[in-house]
Amino acid sequence: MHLGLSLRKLLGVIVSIGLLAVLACGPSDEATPTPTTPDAPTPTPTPQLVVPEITVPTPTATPVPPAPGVTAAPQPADTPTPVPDDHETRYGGTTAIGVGGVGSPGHFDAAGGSAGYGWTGLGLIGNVWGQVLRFSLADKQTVEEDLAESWSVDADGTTYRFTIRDNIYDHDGNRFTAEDAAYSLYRYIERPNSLSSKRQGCLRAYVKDIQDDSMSTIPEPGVEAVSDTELIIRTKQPVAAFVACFVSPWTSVMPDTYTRAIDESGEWRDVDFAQGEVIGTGPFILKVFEDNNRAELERNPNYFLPEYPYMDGYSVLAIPDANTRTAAFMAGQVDYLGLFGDAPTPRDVERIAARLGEDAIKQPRVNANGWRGFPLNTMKPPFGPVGDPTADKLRTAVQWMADRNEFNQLRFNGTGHLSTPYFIGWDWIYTVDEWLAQYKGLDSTPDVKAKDLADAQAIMTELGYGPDNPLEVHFVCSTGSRNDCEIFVQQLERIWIKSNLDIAPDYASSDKRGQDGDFQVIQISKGLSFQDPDGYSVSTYLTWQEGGRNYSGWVRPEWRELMEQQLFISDQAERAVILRQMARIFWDDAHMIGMVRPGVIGLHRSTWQNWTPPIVHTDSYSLERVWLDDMM
Amino acid sequence: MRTYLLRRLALFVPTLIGASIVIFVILRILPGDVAAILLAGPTGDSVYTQEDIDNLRESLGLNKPIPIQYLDWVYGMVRFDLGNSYVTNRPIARSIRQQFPVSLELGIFTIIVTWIIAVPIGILAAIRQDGISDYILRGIAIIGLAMPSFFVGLLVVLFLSVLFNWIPPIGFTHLWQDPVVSFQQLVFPAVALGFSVNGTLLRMTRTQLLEVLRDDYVRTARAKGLSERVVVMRHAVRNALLPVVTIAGAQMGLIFSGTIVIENIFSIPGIGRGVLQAMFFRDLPAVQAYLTYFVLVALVANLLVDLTYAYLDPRIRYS
Repeated sequence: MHLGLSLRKLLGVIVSIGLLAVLACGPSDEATPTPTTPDAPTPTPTPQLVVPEITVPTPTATPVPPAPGVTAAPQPADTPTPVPDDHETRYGGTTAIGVGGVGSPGHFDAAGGSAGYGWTGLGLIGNVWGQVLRFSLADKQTVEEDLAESWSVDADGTTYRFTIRDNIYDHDGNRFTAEDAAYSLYRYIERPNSLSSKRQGCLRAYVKDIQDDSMSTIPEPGVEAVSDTELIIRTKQPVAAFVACFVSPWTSVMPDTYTRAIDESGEWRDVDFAQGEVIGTGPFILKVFEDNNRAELERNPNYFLPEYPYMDGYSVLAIPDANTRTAAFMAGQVDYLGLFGDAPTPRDVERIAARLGEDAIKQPRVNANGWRGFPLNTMKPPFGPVGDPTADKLRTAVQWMADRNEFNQLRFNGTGHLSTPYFIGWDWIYTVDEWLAQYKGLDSTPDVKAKDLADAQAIMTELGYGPDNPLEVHFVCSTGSRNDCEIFVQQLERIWIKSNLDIAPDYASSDKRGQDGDFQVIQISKGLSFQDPDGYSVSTYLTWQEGGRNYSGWVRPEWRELMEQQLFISDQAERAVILRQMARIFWDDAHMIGMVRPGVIGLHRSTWQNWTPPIVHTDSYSLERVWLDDMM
Repeated sequence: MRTYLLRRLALFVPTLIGASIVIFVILRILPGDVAAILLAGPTGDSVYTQEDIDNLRESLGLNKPIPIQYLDWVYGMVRFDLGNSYVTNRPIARSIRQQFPVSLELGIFTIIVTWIIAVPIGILAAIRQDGISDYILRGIAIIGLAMPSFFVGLLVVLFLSVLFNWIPPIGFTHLWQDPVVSFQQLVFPAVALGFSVNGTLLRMTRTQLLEVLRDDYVRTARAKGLSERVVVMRHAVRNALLPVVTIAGAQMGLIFSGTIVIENIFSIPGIGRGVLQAMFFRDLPAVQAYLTYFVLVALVANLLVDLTYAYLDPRIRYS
């Protein structure tokens, strides 16, 4: 049978298509292969940890994590502006950031309910939007002026005065004044049109109201612009944590051009990029935003600090698939990977390092500050009430038994940090060693944990439980946290607690059961919206009726008194004494079994210079002072 | 024909209404409070109060009776107003307008790749029945059938990355913006998508053609002295393609609906990515809009298949 359509011809067509496809893969500007050739000697995998800081003790090493966070001293910080060495700085160039998820910010409006983390969410703060004060870009710990050129606190400790720079212009070219800043703060505090503003709760807690119930401005309001350059904030009382709250990136300020008009329309909507409403005062201007695809930012030529930024711009590319993100980094299409949900695993980093060379990348870790673990219901037996000897012993046994290191390895590939009552990186409260030595159950070193487990089992035996007589508990968990719960279920079995795992379809349903007290063990995870111990107390340890996330029903008047007492203390050492007492009560009552908060690797190329990585996930991601050393 | 077409188009309406009711009801009976889910955030980290939930439910219109909510939605759809996303508060229609051309381009690319490869190979396999080439091509088809497109996609990325230290440019560029970059971005997902589709079409083409080649009218054509090319291409293939078109039509619906996994692997911001995002965030109006769009695509694809029958087989007449 001869058809003229021979196999040879057909194969020729197919091969031609294939060749065309291969030709299509030719180099383009966007896809320049990295200098590393496939034949280059592959570095031998070394025992170097891809995660530089491990806070959960292991038998081998327990490096101390960096100490982040503002230390709540309400004094203007005298931090010198970090000026890079002139011999090294480079202007120009662009960089690309690969994000997973959906690449969407949710809401551009920082007061919007879905204003999120990440390079197209929180990452816009410091790049597109500014703050009155901010964490220093050099160390991500101390406080420095941003839109303010100076600030002071009155002697009574309740009135903060800021002088806003007089040379700030927004991306539309309009002058940015203290009135713009005041309006942003007004929105966070008074929430016009039921604005969500869910991450600025500390401002509402600390700052005096601005309006009364009839929407009239009250005398001496919480926020006031008294001139174009003078901004005043009045707190309800002296609060040590106010500065920490105020420098949190969540309290960024926006020009009021569009937000005011939206608020006055009577119905909230997000500022709309398509209508040119996403403008700020930051070093970069958002030029392109394609939901689910990419964002492109260009250097702001009118930035109020004319020597910054160094780069011409940067782009944020949405790459949902983890393998593709890793491949894109290796292929030179992106220069940064890593945020929560998008971060490379230690194995990915090993692969990248093996391909590109150890020197080609840096891999700092970013901690998700906050609390993650398992509240026990103290409102009913068997874990309650607090003060009942049997219930107290039972909770203590759980506290001592929990193996945090095992949890960290299984859940977070070892990149997490201990969920101590206050962030383990705040050395001014406790060093890591002090936490481990003084808080029984935290140390997972095998010998220590074996002893703690034996002690926990002894308690259980004393209470009448054993392999043949386990305690059965109702364990509530959400689908998204199922892995956490299943690990803990197995650990509980070591002290003969058998869990009836009740998986709620989502976090909200799980929360509802927590609020209803319909559990005996429950899983929660809570990020810290500002870097201060008070953030833990307010958003996690207070009962849910008070705005916290504590479903255990635990109320301790002594702890509450200490909490109120430390609010007014600005001396760090003096405040730490009280915080240690609070931590001790919290730990010994064992109503919330803290496990491990995640950390991720913020992988970037070594070409990024002058970049201080975020220490915690809510730090600034500003690229204002980053330059690229592969330029010129 | 015109009457038939109008009747089919008219039937779209009750079908769409039925589908919309099913979609709306199913999404409403899913467990969980949408307002609380939105407030909790994707990681469940956020704190909220009952007052926040109440306020959000009110502003989203979730406190209205479900029939009223349904009618509000349908009224909006009739006016081509798909509403705003619960998550971003941006118009859903705008998102779909941005995503549709992307998925359309990918779909067209995939269909071209599929038809160019599968049908000729199927024909060749049939006319070389039980030859070496037939065995090889059938083997390839079976591999295609056995490997889901997402797996092929992962292999493609891995292959390009490991062997060439290169992957298609991230993001999406329309064909009219930069044809070369667009081609680079689309050809590999199209191949990944088409590979498994090819298996089905190739085998179907081969089987149908073998059957037709044994029919009397083919023997008659040969007896008349027609060349083998004319016999096969003009007489046999046309009839053999009818079932192939049916399958291709169904696959076309899937392809144009966006392919969630492939769009994720190759970072293509099409309909598939949009629906995944909407489902992840429990963005009800967006999910409703996407599902309704899928129904519409399926209806149109089926209509096109039926109309193609008439073209391929002159005996088929619609009235």
